[in-house]
Amino acid sequence: MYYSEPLRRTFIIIPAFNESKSIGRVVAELLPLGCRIVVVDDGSPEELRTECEGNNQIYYIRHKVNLGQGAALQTGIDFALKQGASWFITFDADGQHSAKDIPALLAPLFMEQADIVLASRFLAKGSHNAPIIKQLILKAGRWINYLFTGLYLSDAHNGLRAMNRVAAHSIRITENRMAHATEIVAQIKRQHLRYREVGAAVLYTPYSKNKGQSSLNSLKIFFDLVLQKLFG
Amino acid sequence: MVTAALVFIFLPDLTNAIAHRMGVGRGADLIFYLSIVIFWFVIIKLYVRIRKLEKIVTDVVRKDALNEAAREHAG
Repeated sequence: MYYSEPLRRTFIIIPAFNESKSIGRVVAELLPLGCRIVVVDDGSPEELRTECEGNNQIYYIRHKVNLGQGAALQTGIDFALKQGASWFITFDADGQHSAKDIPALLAPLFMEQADIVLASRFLAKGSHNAPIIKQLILKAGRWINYLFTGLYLSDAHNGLRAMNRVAAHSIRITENRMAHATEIVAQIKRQHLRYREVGAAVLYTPYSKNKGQSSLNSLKIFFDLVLQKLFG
Repeated sequence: MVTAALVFIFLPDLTNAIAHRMGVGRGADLIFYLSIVIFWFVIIKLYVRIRKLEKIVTDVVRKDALNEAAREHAG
């Protein structure tokens, strides 16, 4: 059941770097929802512009230099805010997320029960096909997130979120690279935003597994967080 | 800083005297310890400067990206 008015004011922000193979499919999967789509091309050597052209539901923004997923998200959010968006969704460009999960993410926002809704692959309605090592890292990551943010969430690192304008205004991502996920959670706590977790699917395909973050990245994120805590 | 370095180069026994008063074995050791402390300060200062630069770069790239996008969707 869809209301077309709110959906015109819903912006799906997709940060993308070098996703020319999957971005077309991801956008195609999202178009039927009726929301507006913002692709933020984070300095990809091959511009993703062509995959996003010819449709006035899609906005294309390009960073001339690669800054990181966090930076791309913030740029997309700034753009959507300026366009008068009421609802914001963050969605990955590599096909790990499923458009079918979006209604469940938006529902608590539309019903004014939360300011930000976070997708979790570990909840009942969620699903995932992560290898054991990745699962262990994610489960350990939950505690590290708790250490840094004071919030214990079931999925430490999920790029699928929905938020309302209040949350979009209050959250300011300064971590350009992958530590932004934790930074967002930290700000949820600090700004006392109402949050909810909703089960969603995170499916690794051979393509995304190839591209995906190595386990060593978790260490990089950890150091970024420590340095931010110490030196801001 | 430069005068201190020069003094210590030409009067190495001075470092020994200072070191002994501080409870450190050799003058050379004292110089090492001081150097390490100085390195820490410098590294931290550099890191903070780099973070500031990163923020400036991000702001410039973002502003440019948003301006171009605004132009495309207005015209």
